[in-house]
Amino acid sequence: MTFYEFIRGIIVAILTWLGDGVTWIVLQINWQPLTGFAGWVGGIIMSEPSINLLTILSGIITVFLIIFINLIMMMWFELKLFARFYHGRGPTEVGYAGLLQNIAHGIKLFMKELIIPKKVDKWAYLIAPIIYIGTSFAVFVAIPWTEGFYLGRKDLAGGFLIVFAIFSMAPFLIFISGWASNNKFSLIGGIRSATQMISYEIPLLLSVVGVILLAHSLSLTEIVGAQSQTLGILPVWFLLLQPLGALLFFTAAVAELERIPFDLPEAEAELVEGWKTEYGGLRFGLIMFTEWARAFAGCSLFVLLFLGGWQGPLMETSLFGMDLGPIIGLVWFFIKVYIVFGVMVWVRASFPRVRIDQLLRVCWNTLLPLGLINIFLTVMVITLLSGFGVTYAIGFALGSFFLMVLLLFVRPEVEPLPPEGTLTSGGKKERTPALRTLVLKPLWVTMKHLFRRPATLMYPYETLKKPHTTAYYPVTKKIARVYEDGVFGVPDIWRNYRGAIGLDVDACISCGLCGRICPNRCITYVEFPGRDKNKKVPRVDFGVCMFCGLCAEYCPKGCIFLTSEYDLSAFDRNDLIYGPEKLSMFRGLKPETRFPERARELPSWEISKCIGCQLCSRRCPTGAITMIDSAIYIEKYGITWDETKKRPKSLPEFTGDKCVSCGTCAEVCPRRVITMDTPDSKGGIDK
Amino acid sequence: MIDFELISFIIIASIMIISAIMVLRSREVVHSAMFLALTFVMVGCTYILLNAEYIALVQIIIYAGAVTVLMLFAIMLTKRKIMDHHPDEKEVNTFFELMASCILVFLILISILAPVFCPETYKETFDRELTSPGSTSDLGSLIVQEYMIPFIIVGIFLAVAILGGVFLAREKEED
Amino acid sequence: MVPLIYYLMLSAILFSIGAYGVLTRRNAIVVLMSLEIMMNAINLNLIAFSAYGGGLSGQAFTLFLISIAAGEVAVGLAIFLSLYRRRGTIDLRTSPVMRW
Repeated sequence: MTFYEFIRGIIVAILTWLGDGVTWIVLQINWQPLTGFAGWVGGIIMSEPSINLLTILSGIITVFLIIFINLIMMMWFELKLFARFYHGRGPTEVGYAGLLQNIAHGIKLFMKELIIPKKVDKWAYLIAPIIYIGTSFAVFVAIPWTEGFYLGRKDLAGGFLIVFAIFSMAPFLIFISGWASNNKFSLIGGIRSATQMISYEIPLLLSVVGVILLAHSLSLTEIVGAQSQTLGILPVWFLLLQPLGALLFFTAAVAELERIPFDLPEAEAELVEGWKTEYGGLRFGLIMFTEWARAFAGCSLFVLLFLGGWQGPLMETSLFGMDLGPIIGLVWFFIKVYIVFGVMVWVRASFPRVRIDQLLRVCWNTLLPLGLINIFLTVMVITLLSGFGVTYAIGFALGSFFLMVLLLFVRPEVEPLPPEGTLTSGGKKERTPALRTLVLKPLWVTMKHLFRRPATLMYPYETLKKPHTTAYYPVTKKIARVYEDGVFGVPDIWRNYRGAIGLDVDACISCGLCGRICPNRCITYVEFPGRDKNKKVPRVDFGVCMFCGLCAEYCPKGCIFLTSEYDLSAFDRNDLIYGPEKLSMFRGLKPETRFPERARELPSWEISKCIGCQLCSRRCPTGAITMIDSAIYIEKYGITWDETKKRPKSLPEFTGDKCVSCGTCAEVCPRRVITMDTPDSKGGIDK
Repeated sequence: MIDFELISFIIIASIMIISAIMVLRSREVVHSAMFLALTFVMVGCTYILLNAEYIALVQIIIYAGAVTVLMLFAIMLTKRKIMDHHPDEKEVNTFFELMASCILVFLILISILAPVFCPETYKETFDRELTSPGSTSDLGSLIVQEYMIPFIIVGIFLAVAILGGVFLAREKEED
Repeated sequence: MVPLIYYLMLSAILFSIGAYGVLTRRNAIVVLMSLEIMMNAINLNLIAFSAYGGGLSGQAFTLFLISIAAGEVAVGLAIFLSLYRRRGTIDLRTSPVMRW
């Protein structure tokens, strides 16, 4: 029973059931025109063309839904597997183990605004991606997933060629999208993309010629049927009969689907998104979606052509007399597609990006000759085996040998090899960097890394902390939890962190230096209970703080410091303003090393301008400035006072030992008498 | 009841003719290329109606897939400014236009008035039946058995065309 | 059932449109496009006759014609590129292309 008959049976059953219901209702109403009308409509719906149409439509919708769900699974599979190659975890938040992550992406893109840039070519900009998306999904008409999976009544005779024809319309559409975006870099991306796709279609087609020769048909169902022979227990798939063709097809498919290592047209670090740059919102989302649909189609083609399609063990089971073969085949098909896709992700994780000229060189110089050689070898072997005679075989052998000689030795100049001494390891003989270093070794390295434990920290469920201890603050009589160093340990030599700011309230002398030096002005001063009202302590706004460490560096007593606590987020911006009690919470995390002592700047007075307001001595936090009687002052320091000016009652005296270079005196002096001098000066009086 | 073939033919033919006219009437060359691709695809669909599936696929692969991209590359390489709307038909040479329009109208009239001019041939074409000429493998056998020499000559021609194209379009080295 | 004559009329109309384009347009590449339309009309004619009782030869000939047309487009565009490099424009009316 084919897929078409299956869907048709369902549709006929549904329509008959609905028809019976409607007929019963209409007969109850028993109004002649309505009955006639219902009869006419029923006749049209239940007629043959209408049922065909409905069957095809339902088949298409079912296939589309299956593809949709499959693509979401494939995206999840790729993200998890790709992360695993680098000891990561992939998405884990949304849904169980991150399964709904891509739906979340889709919803996000759905809610974005659809912008059409100003000077684009409007119709080309809008229509080209639509056709691109349409053709990428239209290939699934011709890709059977299990035996009897035709969307029409019988198999499509030109199966593989239909897929190829629909794929081959993509470069043109990409070119138009890139051109229509009115953006030079989109145009470059579009041109590169079109060049790459067109170039790689040729090895793609050539590598399949061998398969078609072996299977005697273009139809994909018959190609899978031709792979059903077994050699003992080993199924003879075309992977074994055509290894070169399979490798070529895989490489060309990876290049066609624009995956890494061939994704220079997209080149995320260089061209933003290539030809897709100017598209936004759901348009972009659908284009990304079709990239995955194309990947799915490419992997399915590989499975159908080389891996035996839907064949596997347990194909002959039957359940209650109903043959379960097709459904088991479906399961095997999807398993194989995911395995092939896993190999593609493995390739993606292993190789760096290939440059555009290297890319094209690989295609035209290497893959195309290999494809031709593959065809020749296949034809030769088939001729020999089907007994066409020795003359034909010799003819083909000579022809292929000649062609090989021609293609491998008559080549244009390639880049010269690097000079001697580079790319060697130790004393080994120099090898040209080739298959082993560039292809096999990266694959082996990533495969090894796949089986290591992931090293990602699941923030915020696991953070870098151990269980806490408690600390008691006598002034505020609070008990706070103090966190210790992280699980992984920090080396002892460098313990100056750049995390949250902590405060030792008891040691603070309220010099105001931290607030003065902060470049973002995030420190303000508030009163603290238990201290003198004038001796205010700092309060930090962590919403503004950039953790530069200048306050910790300049604090003369080392009472403000940076800790290793990085976990500071809050829901409300006001919660980020940490008062002195909250800052004291981090007291236990005070680092053991301090910033080195900085050079001290000492104030100097231009004493002739002083008016004796006593502000500097009052505000000095350490008491380095004392006011003495001006007569004694003049006598002591031997300055001449201009008698015309009023002499103040007392003048400030400065002792350099206690000074902490906070600059408060210079700031509060109303007459700008005080300047903070260079470290060489001894401060004091300057006439 | 309804002849789906006739309806499909009419729809495809109208789209084909309209897009062919738009190829000539577009102001922007890239739009002409887009309509050209549409024409090719419609011709391919006509081939499907005529039971020639393999030729339809070949048409789409080669024409809509490769020839249009070739044209677009040539357009990009020969444009003064990308996305600059040339006033292409600023000076309209009336003589050529008139002559070409006359030829066009003449040919169309002949084709439409065919039953008047040669009724027997017209009747004969009208009575012919649509057949399915053969499958893809029959076509392949025909090519390699009867038309082997043209096949090889076309291969040589394509090789010469590739070499000639690459040679003509190469960047000249400064001597 | 579509009578054969409809396909032949379609082919003739397409050919005429192509001819009009070749004779009228200024841009050399659009002339090449019109030439392609003419080739497609020819192919259409061949396939129509092959379907209405002409055997498979029409399809074989069409296959060759498609290849030849593609090759001709390639060489023609290469010539236009050289022309552009020499004269800076591919306008067919600014200068007489065929001299000597």
